[in-house]
Amino acid sequence: MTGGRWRLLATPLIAIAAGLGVGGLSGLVVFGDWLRPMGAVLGATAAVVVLARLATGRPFLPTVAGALAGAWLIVVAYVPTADGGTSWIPRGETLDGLRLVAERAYWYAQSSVAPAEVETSLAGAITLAVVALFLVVDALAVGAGFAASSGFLLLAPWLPALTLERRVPTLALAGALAAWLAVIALSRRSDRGSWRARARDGASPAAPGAALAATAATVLVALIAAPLAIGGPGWGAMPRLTLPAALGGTSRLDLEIDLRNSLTEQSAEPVLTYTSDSGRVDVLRAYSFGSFDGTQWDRDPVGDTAPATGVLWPEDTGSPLIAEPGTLAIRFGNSAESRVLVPAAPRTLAAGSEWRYDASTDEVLIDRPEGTADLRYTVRQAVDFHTEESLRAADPLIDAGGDSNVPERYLDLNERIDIDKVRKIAETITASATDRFEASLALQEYFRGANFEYSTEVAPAGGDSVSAFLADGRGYCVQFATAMVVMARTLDIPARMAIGYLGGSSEGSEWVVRGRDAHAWPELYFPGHGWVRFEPTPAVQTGDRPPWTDVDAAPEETLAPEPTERPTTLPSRAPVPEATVEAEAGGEDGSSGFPWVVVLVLGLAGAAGGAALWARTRARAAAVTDAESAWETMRRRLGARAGDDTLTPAETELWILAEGPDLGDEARASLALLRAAVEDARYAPAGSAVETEVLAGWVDDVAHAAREAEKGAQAGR
Amino acid sequence: MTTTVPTAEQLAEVADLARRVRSQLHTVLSGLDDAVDATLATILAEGHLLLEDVPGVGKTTLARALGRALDTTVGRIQFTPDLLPSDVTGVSVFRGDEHRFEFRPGPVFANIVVADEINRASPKTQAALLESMQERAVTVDGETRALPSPFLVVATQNPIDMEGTYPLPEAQRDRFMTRIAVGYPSTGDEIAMLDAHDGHDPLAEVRPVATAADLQGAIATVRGIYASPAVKQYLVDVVRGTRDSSDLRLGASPRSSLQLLAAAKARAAMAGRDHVLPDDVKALAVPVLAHRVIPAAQARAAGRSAEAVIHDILARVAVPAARAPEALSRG
Repeated sequence: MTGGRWRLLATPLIAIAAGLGVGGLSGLVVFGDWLRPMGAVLGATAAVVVLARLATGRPFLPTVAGALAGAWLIVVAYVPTADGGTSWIPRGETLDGLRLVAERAYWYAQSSVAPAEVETSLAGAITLAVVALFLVVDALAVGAGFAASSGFLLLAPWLPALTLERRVPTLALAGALAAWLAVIALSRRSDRGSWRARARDGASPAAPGAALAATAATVLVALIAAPLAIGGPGWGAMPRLTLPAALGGTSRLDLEIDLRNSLTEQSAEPVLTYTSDSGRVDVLRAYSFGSFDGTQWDRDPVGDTAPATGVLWPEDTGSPLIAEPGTLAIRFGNSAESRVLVPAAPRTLAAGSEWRYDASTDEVLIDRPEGTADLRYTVRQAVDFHTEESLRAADPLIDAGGDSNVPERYLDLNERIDIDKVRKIAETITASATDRFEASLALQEYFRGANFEYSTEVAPAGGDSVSAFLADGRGYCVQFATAMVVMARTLDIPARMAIGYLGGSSEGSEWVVRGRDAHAWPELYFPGHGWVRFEPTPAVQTGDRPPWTDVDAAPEETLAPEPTERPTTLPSRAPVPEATVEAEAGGEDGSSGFPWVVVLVLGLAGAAGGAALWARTRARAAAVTDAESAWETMRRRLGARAGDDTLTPAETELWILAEGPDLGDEARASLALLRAAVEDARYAPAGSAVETEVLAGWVDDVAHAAREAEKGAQAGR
Repeated sequence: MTTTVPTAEQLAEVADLARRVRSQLHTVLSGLDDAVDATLATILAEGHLLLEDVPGVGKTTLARALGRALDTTVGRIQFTPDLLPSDVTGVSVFRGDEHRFEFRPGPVFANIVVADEINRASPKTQAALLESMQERAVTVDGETRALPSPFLVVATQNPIDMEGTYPLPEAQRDRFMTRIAVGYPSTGDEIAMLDAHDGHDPLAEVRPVATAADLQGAIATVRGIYASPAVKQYLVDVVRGTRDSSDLRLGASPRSSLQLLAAAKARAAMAGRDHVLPDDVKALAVPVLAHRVIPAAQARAAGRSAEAVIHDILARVAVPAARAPEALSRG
């Protein structure tokens, strides 16, 4: 391989590709001024590598030089001395400083919430990672010559975005890809000389059919097979690029609750914004799920619908429903739901004629092709409708058989669940409860107690996932909701699961509900009052209890206002109890889980692929250690076309030329040179002085030409 | 015998000499390139040559052309049943005027001795020639006289199944380094031969292109050619193959190993190489080995000649891939 100039050009391109890799942190960190010093350190490191490469012909010396320079620059830029100055010359205490910065970065990453503001220590850590990535990729692509394989490593920074289904900046991804492709193109060019030389040598372009087939296969693998292999429905696992809405950037809640991306992708993309005169709304409700088969939830069937006018509430309470109205002005973004989001309390809608209300499921149906996308509407809701008194008031009606108002399915228990065991637990919990309200409250508090922990890193459970969850005590909102619904049903309380969004976070005068606010909660039935939301999912995710359940914890709550301040990164991919892969989000902020399984599988697959490739190339290179092994390798690669052992090298050459494939002039010359080398090595007093790389090149020439000739012969047949 | 590693110039000289001689012989004998090469190799390896074939295929012409191309003394002996040993070696005659015996050298005192139809002479006379070949000296009347150097005997012989011949015994055939079956020329070569002989004697056109001193120098160069352990291993494998073959009643002797290596060295030098290739061994295996082995009865019954058996052995013995272990080189 000659011509070192491409290396000088490839190194900056690799630096660009590695630097753009921070785009993979999109959604995890806030991009800002910290990018500038990072770019400067990376650029300076790349410059050192280029200069070192100009100065030396050794393949990896520039990498060492770059590593030293990069390390020094990072220390200067990010590691202050004890008195806050700049440590121009690394000393012993610099190591302590480095450790402090690393600890601080780790602590910050643990404690901050995505997307996190990047402070100095975190910026240093990211810069270190980017520079290290650059150096490794550069050593692999330019030093070792594996330009194509280096793409595996360049993929690494995009893995968080890929697995968390963050939206990545399209330009950054495209730029990184283009830079990597340019590196490959440069390296190929130097392999084969200019295109002019190739044309002169008679290298023919690939057949159009083969190119077409290769493209089709690539598309098939990349868009269908690979997502399927990653798991699930596929498209949901693809990285979503930030596209203008005009190009169809709509999203919606995924209602296949047994799939790992059940609710919606964990995105920071706003679903809707609303203004409210009564503060943050608890939840916005969209769908009801009534039947649970032990593993999977099914939507409730649509019952009788009526135009969505007047007060919308499933239960006739016989009293003015909306005494103290709160008004919400809701503005949908690109979220194309088929149900209008409404608060979980009696409400009125300024509804269009095409909106209909289904009292049996408490859903507001909208009949538009684009669903709720870009919808604007105003809701007035009863603010203090659910109260302890009103719920306790349902007791006489329960005794009077009020539960028969709702369909039987809300009491169904699938036999796949260990009903007796769950009932026993439920009865123990509610032993002291005197009415349905207290029982419901006891169930909620049971889940919010110390035995349960919000976690997205829950191993998949087969069979009775509810029992497994109760035993394990760790899970996320769908599991909490499911468990509470099942427990309630074992106590003969009609219950169902509702899907919607939490109230979102405040941004200026508005509240913004994002994809990651998606939530699932149980609703229990109180005759004469209606369906009431309870919140078993721990506060770390859902914030305060619903006010009507917050009977005795009020003082404590005022002391801990923290939950409402935190963006509630919810398991937007709703975990069904036995989802096979726990896909959750927000690894960086620690407040939500991380799909380690997916990352592990992807990482292992990448590592295995890379290792296989490396081993193959390595084996090929290692096989050729001298002329003798080169000759052997060549004969092995030609297989039966290389004659037998009783032929001398010269006879073997003649045999290949006469009996073997038509090699072409170049390969014939290589074969002759290889033959001469092995003759020298075996028989000449001085042996052969040909270098290993040259020998390997000849071997490749001959084997390649033989393979091409063979292909040509088959094609001609 | 001291050998020195040949220099590139020496190798080039040998190659050039071979090329010149070859081109001279080619004017006389078209289509006998292999025979010519084997002949040259034999000369350079200080061996002797047995040309064996039916009469009239150019054995004698080859021998004579060789003698002319090399600017050396050529002795020619036509062997007949009544030829006496002294007709070969020379005789002491009494010079009355000087009162002493004077040795009259026989035709064997020449650089190249062409012994035509050697199998027509009596065994006693044959033995006289063969002894001088081996000893490179002649003893007459108790006095040993050295033969000139280089010394090459080119004997021609009709196949043993012709009438009026005394076949050379196996022990005698072993003295010849190579035996070359000239064979009938191809149609084209035969027409070319007719053209060459049309109206004049092509032998007259053969010019001397090398002197005895040149030949001596080339022979010294050949001695210094390097034979790697791998090549020796291969050579020994081939020779042992003749001993192990069930098709052969008698395999090749260790002397044949020595001679095969010497001939291979000569062939390498003729190609301008300073080292022997297995190809050299292969090319010379039949000329060097075929006349020393005796096919077994069943092989003969199956119509298989010694040449065919040796070709089989060559097709069976693997060329060693790497340098052979030191133990096989025996110092």
